[in-house]
Amino acid sequence: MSTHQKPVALTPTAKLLEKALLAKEQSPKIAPRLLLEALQQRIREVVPDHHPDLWVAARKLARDKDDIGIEAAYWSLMMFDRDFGERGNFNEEQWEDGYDVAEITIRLLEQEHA
Amino acid sequence: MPDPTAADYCQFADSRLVDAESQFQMATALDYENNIVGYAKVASLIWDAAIDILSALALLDGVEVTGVSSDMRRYARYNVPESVFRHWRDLARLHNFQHKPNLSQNEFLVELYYTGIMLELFNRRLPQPLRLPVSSFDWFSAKVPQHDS
Repeated sequence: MSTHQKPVALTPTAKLLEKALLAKEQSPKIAPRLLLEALQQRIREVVPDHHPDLWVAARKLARDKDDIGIEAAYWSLMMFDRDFGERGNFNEEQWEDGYDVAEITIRLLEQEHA
Repeated sequence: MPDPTAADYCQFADSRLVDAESQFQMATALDYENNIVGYAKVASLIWDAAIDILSALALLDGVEVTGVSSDMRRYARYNVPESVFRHWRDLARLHNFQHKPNLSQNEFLVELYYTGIMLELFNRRLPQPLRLPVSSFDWFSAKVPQHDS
């Protein structure tokens, strides 16, 4: 049996999360925006006929799924981007909070739509 | 003096939330810009109550309670459901508000709303005799701004 494994293709959201991790080290100003974009990407995939304003779409998705966590996560990442995106001076704990919100919410949405 | 038990921590949390609600009622009766200190006090009490509830949960799980906030965050991250932990950042923003009050009134009220949801879900994880009354969390959402959609 071959020891070579077929490479696993990263989903667009996973690529954005990886990009955010890289940006956090190299250009932190854009890192929170990439976390928000990753969640936005997942919402676009889950709700193809989404509202053009993705904050509205996130709230509708939260209502439809009876999961306020989706709305809270979007809000959190929007605020993270606003608070620190321009200055890029967030600390490690603030970054972990933001990354965890994005990663967990995206994964929970992926599991539900697998 | 013996170390606090889980029941003690729940009592501390209950008392802090009663105090926080009272402070909140006073704060919201006044102009926001001129009463940031009152809101900061509310944020501080909520943070401490959250740590108390987590400390009770940790003790019941047999986990050492250090009182260090990063330890409690780590406990929450890996011991409460991720769907609940997602709200942690809202609590953290309230915590930061104590030191750097950079939230508008609406933002404060939104963070309060989401944090209340997390605390209520923490509370549900406590065994029935230790749970705080559900009414302890009603005020968190009482003044949340309504979204336009």
